[in-house]
Amino acid sequence: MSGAAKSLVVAALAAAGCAAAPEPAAIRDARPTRLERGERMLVEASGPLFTVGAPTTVALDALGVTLPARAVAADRVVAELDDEHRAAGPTTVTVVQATRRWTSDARTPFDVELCAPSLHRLANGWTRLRGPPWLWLALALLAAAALVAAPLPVLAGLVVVWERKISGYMGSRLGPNRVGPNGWLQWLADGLKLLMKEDVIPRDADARLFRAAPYLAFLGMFLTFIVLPFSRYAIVADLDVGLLFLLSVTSLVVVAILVGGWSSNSKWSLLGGMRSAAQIVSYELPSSVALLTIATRTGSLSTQRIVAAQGGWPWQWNLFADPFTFVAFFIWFVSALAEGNRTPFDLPEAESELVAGYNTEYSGFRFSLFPLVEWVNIAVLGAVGTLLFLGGWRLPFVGAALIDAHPWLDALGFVAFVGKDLAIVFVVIWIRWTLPRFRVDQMMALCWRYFIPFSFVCFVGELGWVWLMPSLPARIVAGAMFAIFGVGCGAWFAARVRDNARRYRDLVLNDALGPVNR
Amino acid sequence: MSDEAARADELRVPAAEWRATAARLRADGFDFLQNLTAVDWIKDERIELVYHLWSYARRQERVVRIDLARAQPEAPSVADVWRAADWYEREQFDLLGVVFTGHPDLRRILMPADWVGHPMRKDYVEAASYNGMPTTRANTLELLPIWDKK
Amino acid sequence: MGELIVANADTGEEMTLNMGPQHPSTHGVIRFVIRTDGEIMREAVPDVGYLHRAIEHIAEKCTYEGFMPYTDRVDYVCAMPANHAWALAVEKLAGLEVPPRAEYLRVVTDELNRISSHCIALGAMAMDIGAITPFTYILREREYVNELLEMICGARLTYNYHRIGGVGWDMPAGWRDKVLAWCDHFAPVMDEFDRLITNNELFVRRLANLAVIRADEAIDYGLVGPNLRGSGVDFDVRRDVPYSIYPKLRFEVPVGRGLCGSVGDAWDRYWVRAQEWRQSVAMVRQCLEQIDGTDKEFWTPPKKLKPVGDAMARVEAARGDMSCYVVGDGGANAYRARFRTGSFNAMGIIREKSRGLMIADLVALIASLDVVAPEIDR
Repeated sequence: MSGAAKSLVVAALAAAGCAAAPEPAAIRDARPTRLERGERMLVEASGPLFTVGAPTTVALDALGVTLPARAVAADRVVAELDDEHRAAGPTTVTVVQATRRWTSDARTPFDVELCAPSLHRLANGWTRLRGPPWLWLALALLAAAALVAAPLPVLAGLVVVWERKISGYMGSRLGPNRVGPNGWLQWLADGLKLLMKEDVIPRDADARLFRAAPYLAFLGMFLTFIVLPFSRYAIVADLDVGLLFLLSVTSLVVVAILVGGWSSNSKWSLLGGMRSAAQIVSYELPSSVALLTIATRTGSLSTQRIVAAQGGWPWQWNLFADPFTFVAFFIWFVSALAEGNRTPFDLPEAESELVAGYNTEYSGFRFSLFPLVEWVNIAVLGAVGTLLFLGGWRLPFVGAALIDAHPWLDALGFVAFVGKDLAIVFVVIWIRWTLPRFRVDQMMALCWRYFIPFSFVCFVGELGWVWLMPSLPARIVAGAMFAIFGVGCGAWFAARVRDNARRYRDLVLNDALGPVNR
Repeated sequence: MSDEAARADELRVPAAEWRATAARLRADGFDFLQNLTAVDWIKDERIELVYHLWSYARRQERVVRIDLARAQPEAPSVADVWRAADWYEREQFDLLGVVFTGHPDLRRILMPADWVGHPMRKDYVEAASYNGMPTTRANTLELLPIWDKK
Repeated sequence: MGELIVANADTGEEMTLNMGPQHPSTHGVIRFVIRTDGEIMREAVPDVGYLHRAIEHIAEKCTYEGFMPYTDRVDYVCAMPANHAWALAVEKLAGLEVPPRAEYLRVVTDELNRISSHCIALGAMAMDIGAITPFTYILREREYVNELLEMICGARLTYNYHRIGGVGWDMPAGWRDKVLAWCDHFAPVMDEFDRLITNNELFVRRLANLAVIRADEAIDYGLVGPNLRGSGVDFDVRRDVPYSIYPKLRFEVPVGRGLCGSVGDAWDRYWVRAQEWRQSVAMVRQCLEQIDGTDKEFWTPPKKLKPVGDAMARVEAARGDMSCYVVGDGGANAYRARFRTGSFNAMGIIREKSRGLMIADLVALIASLDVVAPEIDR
């Protein structure tokens, strides 16, 4: 679980005022505060009240708990839960510094819960188990790796079959429909077939690098699953630097492609590898800056925090929050397409030009790994887009408090996340089968001349927005963005689909020619 | 075309004068070298080159015929007058052995580079094998065992 | 090819790549030896002949009538005009008359075949640029044309339909209505294709100002058909050297105007084909209207076909002006048959135009010239 990071923003202000009479506090947000042992609580005042460096404690009056704290700024105090307390309920919070005390408004109490360690905590508590720590560590890592790695080939396979069926239906034909129910086990057949193929290594290829490259790519893809928040509880590790981790780890794929292309000792592979490396490295920049825009807005690189900062309703998503995040979404989306080697950026594997680019010399299982990585990458792309821009696992009406009260609701969050992920994946596949591809120089020009400047504009704009824009106009803008782009564009799109369906209804009817048997 | 008027438009040019005639025709407006055919008149011991020219401006055709000695068929190349002649001449060289002097890159175009002989000649006999592969094989029907039962 | 490669051995940055003969996007079995500096090509030298089947040689072994199926294979993607060229050449040589109904049937099948050939040309071009789905749509439409032509002559690809002196069979009952129904059905498909591809931003960017061929260059290198018209030269064999019943049909000849770049760039050559579709559909409709007024006779088989002399016939095939030159010496077989095809000439310009292009552009160039291997090699 660990829906909250180490530092929680307490959604209310502590009281400000003189030592004699506590003044009422202004409530900014009414979310509950869950603390586990070792987690910190942040108390903010409406003005500069505290003395930095003075010994401080924070008392949760109704719960009878006193936490050691320290003042980090004139209006902020950080308290840490250092003991195994269990309690829950509304309480006023009192900050005590030497002789002065401030209490929050009793009319709007904090909703604090001090709870038992979560599963995540338990898993990390392996250091406290008996026996050699390295053994528990190894076992824990193996278990975690297996848990995360096992679904990956299945995920890739399902995305492959889905893509082939989409491409089939878009091309007025059926996709795979023989193996399994309506063709949905095609991935199994293809995977088994590739496993059984002969593993050919070109004689003049660098054998060690040649063998290693696909696994390197798989590693890069596999590691990203660590920080993806599939639901409130279903995240492997909610790293503080989740986004940074994501970006760095996906770069392993670039290395793998370069290594694969070069070690194949084939000119076509080399060309494909170099093209791909240039493309991915270039598009890392606008992609990262677009992500920074969201990190700026949320104030954190942690993936769960980013999701928590959004709401369940579409107008509470980061996508419609302000114009800068809206543009950032599209910059990020196109850059992610480029990083994933998807059309219109699929030059490195342009079948009609390079046969298969860096893939050309690979066969058998190693060959299957590269496309597997590519398809998992699409799913990860969708996941990242979902968590950053589409509200992650958040659903309307199902807030974090409700989930904590009824843990089974977490499954709804998981379904929401996967659903939004698949929606983005669908758009990616749809684009692939519609658009032609860019040429190398056009792709580079797009990145360096347009995307990078625009992404920086978005980032700086977002900085300014977050800093200067007061909350009410910001909410109005968000609502307007949702109305125009969400509802308006959605309605226009639906109208186009309806028109196309009507206009081309009889395009594929064979009745024009009568029965085929003449 | 078997019309007399069209026949009157045909030119018979000796090989030595071809380049001058070509330049003149090009300057006259015949900018499209529409076709170049080499015909092997083995009985007359000659190879005839037939050039079909076309003028886009005047919508007019002109035919030029050149006779070459079959033993050593050489003609001047007009690849610099009409760029289309480049590949036409290579093809006629490849298939009939006409050597176009002055051609920038006279080599085989349809047959493999190491082919022996010029296949469209009337007296062409295919070599028995090409790079170790036999060029003829028995009729498959004759190989069937059913014929033995007779 | 030996001396070519040795002279240009890899020096420093330069790579010698081999594209083909098996390659997904070279429109048949053609090979290019590419000297490239990274992504930019110094030169792409075509090496053809992989599909040479000695069709002209075979003509000397077959009777005039019997040679007709071989003409299908001169360009199997657009076989009817090749049939027509041969029939026209031999009929000129022997001075034969063709019944009017046969002329109409020839033109109808020619134009239908032109449409299906352009389906392949445009669809393959889109696919080479990266958009795979429009190709599947186009193939779906081409299936209808294949079925229509199968109804009339029994074959889907290599038709052997025209004969010396007419055509092989008359229209079956109901064929006319089916063709007209198909024409109605095809109209929105052309519009959809235009919306999807012709004006697609990415597509235009890939093709605009690519490999601009000026009009004088096009004429000099002997380009014909849509390649020539794409460069701005207003010439069409059907209108300017008319044959069969084309004088009785009203149609326009689209000429490249540089709508999305320069006149003579790859997009213009593409655009000319995309307009020719529509003209062909109009011609098919007109023919099917006018055919009602003709007699039933569709073939006058020649007796004792042993002509002497020579004859040249030009038809407008899908890939341009296909000319057939036949020489007869009084025997039952042709003495010499020569097919000069549009793709052969188009290959000649590729070496020149490939200098300075990128490899991706080479693919686009080949696709825009619409070369098919059977026409080059015969």
